[in-house]
Amino acid sequence: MRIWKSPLVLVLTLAALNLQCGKKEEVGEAPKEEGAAPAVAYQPTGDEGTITGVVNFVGQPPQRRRIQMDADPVCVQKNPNALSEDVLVNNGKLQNVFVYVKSGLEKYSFPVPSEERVLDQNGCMYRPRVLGLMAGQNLKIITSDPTNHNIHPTPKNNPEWNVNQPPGSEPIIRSFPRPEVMIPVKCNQHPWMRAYIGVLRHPFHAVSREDGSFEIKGLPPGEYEIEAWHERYGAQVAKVTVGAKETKQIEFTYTAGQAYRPGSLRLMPALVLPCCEKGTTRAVALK
Amino acid sequence: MHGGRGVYRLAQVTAGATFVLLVLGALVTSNEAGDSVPDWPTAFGRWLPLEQIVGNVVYEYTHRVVAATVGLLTLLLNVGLWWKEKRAWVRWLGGVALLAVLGQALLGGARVLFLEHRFTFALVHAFMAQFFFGLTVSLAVVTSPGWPPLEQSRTEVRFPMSLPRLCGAAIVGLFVQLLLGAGFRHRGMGILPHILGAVGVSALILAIVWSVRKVTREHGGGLRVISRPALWIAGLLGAQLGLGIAAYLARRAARFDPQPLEPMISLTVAHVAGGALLLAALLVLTWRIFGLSGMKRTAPLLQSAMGKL
Repeated sequence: MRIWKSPLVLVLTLAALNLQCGKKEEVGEAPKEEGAAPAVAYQPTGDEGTITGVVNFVGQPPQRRRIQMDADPVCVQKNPNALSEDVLVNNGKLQNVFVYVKSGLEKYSFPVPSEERVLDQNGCMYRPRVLGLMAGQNLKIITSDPTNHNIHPTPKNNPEWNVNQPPGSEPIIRSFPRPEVMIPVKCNQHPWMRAYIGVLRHPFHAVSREDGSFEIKGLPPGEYEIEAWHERYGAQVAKVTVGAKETKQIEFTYTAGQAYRPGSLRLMPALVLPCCEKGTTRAVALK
Repeated sequence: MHGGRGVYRLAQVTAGATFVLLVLGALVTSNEAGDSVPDWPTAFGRWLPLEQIVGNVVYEYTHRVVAATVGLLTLLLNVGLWWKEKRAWVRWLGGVALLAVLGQALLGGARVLFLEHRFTFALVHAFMAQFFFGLTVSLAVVTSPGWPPLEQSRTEVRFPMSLPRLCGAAIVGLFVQLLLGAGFRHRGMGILPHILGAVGVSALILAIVWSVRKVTREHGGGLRVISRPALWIAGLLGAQLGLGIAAYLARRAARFDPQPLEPMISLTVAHVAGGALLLAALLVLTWRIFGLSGMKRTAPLLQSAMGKL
């Protein structure tokens, strides 16, 4: 009896071990830093400042690639000339960079906005491609396509889920309980569909627009680390001090053609995403 | 003693269908289609969601249909074995295959349903696929009319003691190597362990080929039952190493592609298929060496051990 049971036993043992080892904490409040003082609810004083800036791109941006949607005729019909959107550069300015306050707000807590953020599936592409949310804030997923989609975020610190959304169906409302920058979202039925969601414990973030500009408003006066994150060129950080009612400008600059260090050549990198070319990270506080 | 030509043909068909299933599984992974159908065992809540089989769903759904066919073939093979086959250990081998295919189906379902453990389940699923394929190949070998080759051999064959051990080590090594390859393909680990594994398994296989060549020379160039699979193994090893390098280079070149594209898909799938064929050839050789050298001594022991179960 032992002989024929052994493969099954192996499988069950491995699965059980993984289920034990991989158990995540119950969903609830965002984890608090050990030893950190309890955060107090921030009350606006009228002294809040603003950070504005621009994301530059130096060098020749990679050529946008045609997306082959032939596997789903509905996608081809709706979006016949689809091009890749991972690197969007206009006149030396980089779009879709997620800019957020990385540190400096630990002593405050902020209410979760009641309004939902919308992620649309349109032309078999996600709109927007990059967006930010507060932990616990609702994400409303809608579909404008007359074809099936599955929505599959692959977080590391939040529960993972994968749901199907047929054409014309009701919006899907979900939220992420823990802060995490960034959560990749994909549609496995249309593998070119990619979006990235930044989940924060505060509302201070922006995504660079077509002209590379961004603006973060309503910041309490203080010293901050501002991080810019791009899906291909990685992250860079700028330090900035915002005074009462002050507007500070910062600039991030990414450079094309940096050497790529493939994660797959490392000995045992766990779940490395093949996304992040390390670009030059240069951030300058202008004022 | 044998189950007859019908059982042998059924075993061959099951092994062939399993190989097709392995290729389809590799297509699912290479096209990133593993989660395109979020539910299991149904697909979008139905058994035949015809209008939803577009895009990557084609790969995932076909994989499930062929998997069900392989399960059915294995069940039929077991019926044939328990009806016709006299050797208890062969019947039990069929039983192990049936359990393996059922376990494999559950693992496939777990891979879909338990997303937070998908890497582990994907890895075990990939391993079990090759393990089950190995079982079907073994069943095809031992139910063939030419088995055991000892009865066909006119002269007694003496193998160096190291050869069966080398074969055993190579089979274990190949399974480990298949696991490491799956780990890289599923993006759970780097390429380095797979490269080191390739070096180790290649050394073992070259030692086997060299040893078989020596034995066949001692027998005046005869013993095609082992020289032919050894030749296949040597050829497949060369092809597999070439495919592995090509697949890795293609994957590197495709790292910024907006979606999985050719030639990365075909090269990766061919590399997975090559690994399965190499395993099959190694198993055929090992069974034949076992059959030529120790069948008469070992079979009664095996028979009595199985009889006690």
